[in-house]
Amino acid sequence: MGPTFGRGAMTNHWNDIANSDCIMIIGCNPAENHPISFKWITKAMDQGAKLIVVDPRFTRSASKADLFVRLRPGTDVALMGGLINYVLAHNLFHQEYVVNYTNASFVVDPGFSFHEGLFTGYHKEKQSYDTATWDYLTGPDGKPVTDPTLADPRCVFQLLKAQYARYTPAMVAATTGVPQETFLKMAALYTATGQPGKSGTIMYAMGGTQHSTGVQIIRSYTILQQLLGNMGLPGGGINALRGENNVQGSTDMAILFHIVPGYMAIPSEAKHPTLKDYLEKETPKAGYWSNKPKFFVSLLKAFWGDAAKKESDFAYDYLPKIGKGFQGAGYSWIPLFEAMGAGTVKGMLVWGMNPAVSSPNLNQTYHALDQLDWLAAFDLWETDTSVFWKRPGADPKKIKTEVFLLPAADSLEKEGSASNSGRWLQWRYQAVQPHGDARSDLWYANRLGLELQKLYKAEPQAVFSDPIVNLTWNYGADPDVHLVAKEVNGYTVADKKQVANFTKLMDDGSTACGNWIYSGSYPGPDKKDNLMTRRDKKDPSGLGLYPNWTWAWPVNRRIIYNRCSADPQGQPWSRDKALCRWDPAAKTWMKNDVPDFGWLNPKTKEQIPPEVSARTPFIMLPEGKSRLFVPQGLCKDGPFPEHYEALECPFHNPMSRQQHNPVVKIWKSALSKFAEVCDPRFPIIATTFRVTEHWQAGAMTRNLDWQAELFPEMFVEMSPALAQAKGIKAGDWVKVKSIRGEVLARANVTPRVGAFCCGTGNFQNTVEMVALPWHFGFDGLITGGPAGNNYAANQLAPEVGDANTMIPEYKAFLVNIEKV
Amino acid sequence: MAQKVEKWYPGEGKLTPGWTIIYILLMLGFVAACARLYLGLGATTNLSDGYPWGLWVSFDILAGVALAGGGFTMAAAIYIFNLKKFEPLLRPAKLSAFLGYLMFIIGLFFDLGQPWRIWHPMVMWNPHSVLFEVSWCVMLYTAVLAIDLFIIGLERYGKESWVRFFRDIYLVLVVAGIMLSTLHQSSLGALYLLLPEKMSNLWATQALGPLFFTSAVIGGMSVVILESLISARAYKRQPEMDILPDFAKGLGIALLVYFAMKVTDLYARGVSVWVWDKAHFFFFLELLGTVALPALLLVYQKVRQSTTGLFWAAGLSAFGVVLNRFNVSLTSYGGYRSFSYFPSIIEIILTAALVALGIVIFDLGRKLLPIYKSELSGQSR
Amino acid sequence: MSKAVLIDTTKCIGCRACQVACKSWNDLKGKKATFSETWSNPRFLSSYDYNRIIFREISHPDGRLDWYFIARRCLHCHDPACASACPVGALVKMPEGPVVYDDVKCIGCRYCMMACPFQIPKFEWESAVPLIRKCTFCADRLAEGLTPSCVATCPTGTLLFGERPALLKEAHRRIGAAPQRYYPQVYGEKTAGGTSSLYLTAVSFEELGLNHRGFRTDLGDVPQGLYGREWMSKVPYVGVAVGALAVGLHYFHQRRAEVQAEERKED
Ligand SMILES: Nc1nc2c(c(=O)[nH]1)N[C@H]1C(S)=C(S)[C@@H](COP(=O)(O)OP(=O)(O)OC[C@H]3O[C@@H](n4cnc5c(=O)[nH]c(N)nc54)[C@H](O)[C@@H]3O)O[C@H]1N2
Ligand SMILES: Nc1nc2c(c(=O)[nH]1)N[C@H]1C(S)=C(S)[C@@H](COP(=O)(O)OP(=O)(O)OC[C@H]3O[C@@H](n4cnc5c(=O)[nH]c(N)nc54)[C@H](O)[C@@H]3O)O[C@H]1N2
Ligand code: SF4
Ligand code: SF4
Ligand code: SF4
Ligand code: SF4
Ligand code: SF4
Ligand SMILES: [Mo]
Repeated sequence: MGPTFGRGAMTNHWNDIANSDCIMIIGCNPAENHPISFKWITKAMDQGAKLIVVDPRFTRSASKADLFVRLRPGTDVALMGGLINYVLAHNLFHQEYVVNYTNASFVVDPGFSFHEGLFTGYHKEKQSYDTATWDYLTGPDGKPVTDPTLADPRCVFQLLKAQYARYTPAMVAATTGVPQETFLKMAALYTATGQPGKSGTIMYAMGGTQHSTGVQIIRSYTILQQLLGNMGLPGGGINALRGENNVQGSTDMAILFHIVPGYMAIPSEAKHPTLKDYLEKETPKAGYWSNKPKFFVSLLKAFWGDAAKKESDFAYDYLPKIGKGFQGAGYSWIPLFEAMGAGTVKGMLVWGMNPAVSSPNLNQTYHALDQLDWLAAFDLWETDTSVFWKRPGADPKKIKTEVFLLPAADSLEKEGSASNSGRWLQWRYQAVQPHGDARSDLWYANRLGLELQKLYKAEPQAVFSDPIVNLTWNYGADPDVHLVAKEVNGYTVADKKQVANFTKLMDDGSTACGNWIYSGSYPGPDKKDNLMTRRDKKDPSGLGLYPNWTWAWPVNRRIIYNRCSADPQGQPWSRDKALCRWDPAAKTWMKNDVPDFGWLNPKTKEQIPPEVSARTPFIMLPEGKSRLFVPQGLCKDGPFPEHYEALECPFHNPMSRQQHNPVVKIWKSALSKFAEVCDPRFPIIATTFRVTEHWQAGAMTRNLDWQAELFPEMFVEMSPALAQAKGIKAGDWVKVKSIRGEVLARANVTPRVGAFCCGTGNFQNTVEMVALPWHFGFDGLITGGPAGNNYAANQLAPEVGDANTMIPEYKAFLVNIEKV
Repeated sequence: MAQKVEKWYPGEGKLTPGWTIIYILLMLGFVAACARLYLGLGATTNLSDGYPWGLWVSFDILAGVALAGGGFTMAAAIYIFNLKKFEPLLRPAKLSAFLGYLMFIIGLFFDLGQPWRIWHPMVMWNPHSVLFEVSWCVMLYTAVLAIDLFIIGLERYGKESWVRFFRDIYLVLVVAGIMLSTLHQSSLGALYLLLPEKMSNLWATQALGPLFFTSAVIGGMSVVILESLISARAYKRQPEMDILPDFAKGLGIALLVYFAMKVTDLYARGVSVWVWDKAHFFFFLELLGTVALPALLLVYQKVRQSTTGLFWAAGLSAFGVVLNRFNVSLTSYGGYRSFSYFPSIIEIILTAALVALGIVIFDLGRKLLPIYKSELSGQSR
Repeated sequence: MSKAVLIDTTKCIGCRACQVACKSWNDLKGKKATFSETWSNPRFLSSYDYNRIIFREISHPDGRLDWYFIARRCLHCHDPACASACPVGALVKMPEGPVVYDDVKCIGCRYCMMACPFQIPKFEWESAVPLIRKCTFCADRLAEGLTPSCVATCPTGTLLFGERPALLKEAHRRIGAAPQRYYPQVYGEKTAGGTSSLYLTAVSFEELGLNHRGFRTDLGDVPQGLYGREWMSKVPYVGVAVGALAVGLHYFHQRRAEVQAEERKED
């Protein structure tokens, strides 16, 4: 979504789903994993909205759908491609929107083309693209050439048309297993939201992303939404349902390997040796990101305070860089565990996670953990990870890893903010004192920082101690979370006054800000200035925006890209769903939401007429328009999504000769193995899923008797036909095997899953699918079955990542199944 | 007029096989009772949410009380219908009735989740509850029977003035006893009026009250006959063959009435009986084997006049009453899917022990009180 | 004044939050269980579970699948069989709606369990001093002005708490507004004489196969407390009649015997 719209977060917010006319749930299962969202879905449906659920499994969400579409795992691009083709072929797109607000009219470099599943510039050996031709054609003025009539055969619109003409209903059926009839029903239902004034929303989560083609799958959703003019409107948008309650906060704060807080790239040794290089290369000429130097320098200032001087490039050297020292290639999950397995990484802090259950290819994970010198787990309780050395089949005597378990306070035992999917930063108060000896995560982190500073200061010979010694670390011995929140908001260095928001940040070192997108959340010195604590239930617009309920980033905008909710003249597409309206007589904007566009000239204090902002409704992108075509290799696997098969797949790609994502990353180590295409040993597709009743790797629910009794044992969903063929009865224990491992599970024989008939001509084939919840393990009140076994589904899953995000392909791989 | 008590303890002085079994049962019963009280119902019985009522309700409570119907039946026959010739059967009937009710109370005590609250219905009233009414009636009727036995005791120990006093108000006791019995005997059936939907329609009927009442009369009469025959053998007496045949005629009539009631009820409700399953097996066993058959037997004078014939006819009909109570409360009860019930060993032992206790007390009663005709002083009743 | 909960099962997503919320509020422990093929777990209401979601899968010949989730708990009948059964009045229908239970009165006779046509009251079989347990309608919460715990938790609005007449009106409005979505009946409106838990379903309880499993449809509109009350209303009369008859017959027969004796003498 970042490359398409400029920001990677949920575009709307939970309450807003109620405003939708048609909701497409694809690649997620909100009834089970985001139950509260169904409050709003139900509300929308009560008002007449239609619900479409696309999933390989008939889920609890599907039970509420007007239309359920059962698609083969990993084929979302093909389905979306079919819909895109349908929209284009039947002229159902929102013409005015597409021409003005997307890059449809941009003309593309003549060198760019697509053939047999590959875009121009592919290097087979390097498994990567030279993306030079993936760009706009620029005119003599250096600006991209456009054709607002969309007639130019080289314009994005026409290329899009050509790209997806191949996705006919028949091809969709052959690829996804969705019968044409169902597909056409779906197409008619959803594309109705292309009418001006109608809005449709897409909700997705891990069913869409956990694929080797994850980014392209999401890209395909965005293209459909752009064509139908569904972005920026109440009841529209693309709603990425975040997982853990504060995972939005964790990405915002860059608990990731490739960015620093505020979605700025982590510097790379090769590309950005100096601050100047970084700022020049990373700052676009146009769009709001042109302010990046202010945000970046303020961040460095927040990190290193007085040590971050202008003369020393604001301590830019202190920042770790990709390609330098330990950072290596940048450690996302899979490479990190591979590096542990190889002995490069020797210690690990496991902080609120349970990789002994959640990692793909667990046998490799265990091997990696076995190699560690030490492991410190910060958790509420003993987890499968902190006792990985006690797992079934392991010999504790042979494992040298020293393990520390540090008791963490849970969310009710500490104060602080949590950012939800809708970008709302909600302040929470401490309800009870931490249990036993538990401490908050902040307390541990603070203490760790203080100890490290002490140690480094005491050791003059320490290598590269400046970044630690000079770190601004002034939250007190018993850390005050408000001090952290205030630093995140930002302040002027001279007088330590909180800044109002990020427009006040400077690139000269006069301001410091821990995270520019959060700037404005705590704009004053007092606890009452903490906007995250606001709890005003007034909703003047009636659109569920609740502007004074807590605070949303950026600057309290509830629906981002909201310029698109009105036509170029500033008149809302839908009368009763107006986020902003231009009053031509008064020359002013009526605003229900904080405008996500330039509406006021800060100097003249005059309001900016709609025609101006209509040119750049996507302020975070240099071209100001959302991208049907993503230029410059921002998506490594292509500017347009193309269907490729999962790495382990029982079908040959019906769309092209290119079987897999051409730039997919594979780790082949002794324990990282893959089944072949159409491997006869593993003829069944497997996917993994969650249930409402359990939480993630299970430590939080398998240890609670109330939750445990709801789903006490590991199970595997399989169709009655498969069960019959294998002589399996409902409730039997069965063994599910992949090339990497095996797991025991109870047979859940149900028509909720079934076989897929895919392929064309002679290659047509019917393949069964099974589905496994991945919450079980080997430690805790319940593990998933009788003691002495490991019930973690991830013993089966492959170590293969999406080409862009490295998210593992948990949702489609191959297995076999047998009765035990 | 004091009598000498030869053996105050139960039994014959030497351990006959019968008494051995009884003693063993009592011992086992004591252990079972302790286990029940200490471990609770769930641990010691096979009762469940699907089958909240089991053997103890069916046998100790329902069947026990029905078989104890002899007390009021005899009282009615003798005092109300003035059939004085049956007097010799009265006292044993009273004693066995008392035992039946004692069994009810002890059975109930163990069956209650909160036994020590057994007195609650006395002070916590729910006048809409059938069970409330049953508790009161049983309580009062047991008191009546106790007074009655007390009077016999007074007589036995020669407290003549007292006896005379009670004789003057005796009618009150009799009428109260009959009234209470009529009510609770029928109400025990009415308990099941509340759950028609959970019962097989072979037994679920609005007429459960009258049917229970009538069958209690049958049960009582059968037990009177059986008791006479059995005790005669046990205590080496002569059975009252002078009056038993006539009395058995009465039983035959009661059986015929009962049969007619049942058939009319089934017919009126349009129940299709011609099905072959477990429930119907027990149904036919009950209706034909234990109502029609003894009625038929008793038509024959020969049967009525032979101890064996009487024994079989009365035995069948008494068994029929027990079977009916089991049928209504268990066979008919469509508990809950995937639940089933068969009494646990502790339930069985406790019930058996209660029966044993009944025999012991009866034996004691016989020894301590003038129960039989030969012992009748003549003036008192 | 009479409160009720409208359970619009067409909105239920089977998340079982209500099930857990109920346990949480009522402090009920979780039990060791095994996998349930329907996903309904625990498999029965019990003294540990006053509320349970039943999962029902219905496959249609055309390949369509329906999956229904039905919350099962006490119906809080207006004229409850359980209350009419209880000999000590431990179960009482409150005018506010709940059918509440008094721990202190109960003797543990389990007649309420036998009597309830919906098989709701459950017994603490594992306890040595067991009591009856069932949904309380969170009467303790209502007294504090709160809604029942399950209602407060339900994310979808499946559970709606309010005045019974208003809820009935709303239920009928829903049926009227979307007739294709609902089976045209509010279960509990008249069922068993009316209940305070009201159900809207997409299809009939027969089709759900639940009519013999807690959602009886053969009870008609008869208030379930009636059976016992009817009987009990006759009891005093029967008692007096039997008494009078007994006395009458006694004197009649005595007199006749005397007369007969006289006659015999005269002979
Ligand atoms: N109760 C509960 N809630 C949770 C969590 C939990 O563990 N328990 N986890 C939280 C976290 S961290 C996350 S990330 C979210 C995840 O939320 P979801 O993404 O909703 O979770 P999943 O169940 O993993 O996957 C959703 C669905 O994707 C389907 N699916 C599989 N493959 C494909 C495919 O190729 N295409 C499509 N369209 N669908 C596919 C699966 O069948 C599954 O039903 O949930 C969050 N919420
Ligand atoms: N097969 C398969 N595998 C998957 C997925 C899948 O769909 N399929 N999904 C993936 C996804 S999306 C995710 S997000 C990961 C999740 O994987 P993990 O993050 O490894 O799993 P969690 O169970 O969420 O771990 C959170 C831990 O934090 C602890 N905890 C809770 N609160 C606190 C706190 O306040 N402080 C501290 N210190 N600890 C706390 C909990 O007890 C728990 O042990 O799993 C991934 N794995
Ligand atoms: S995070 Fe909490 S409130 Fe939100 S859906 Fe999950 S359980 Fe419900
Ligand atoms: S459903 Fe059963 S327990 Fe609940 S009030 Fe009605 S009769 Fe009583
Ligand atoms: S078990 Fe308790 S609540 Fe139920 S009927 Fe008996 S006394 Fe009343
Ligand atoms: S009303 Fe209260 S007791 Fe009843 S189901 Fe809901 S939470 Fe449980
Ligand atoms: S909480 Fe609501 S939606 Fe969830 S299972 Fe219960 S009734 Fe259904
Ligand atoms: Mo996640």
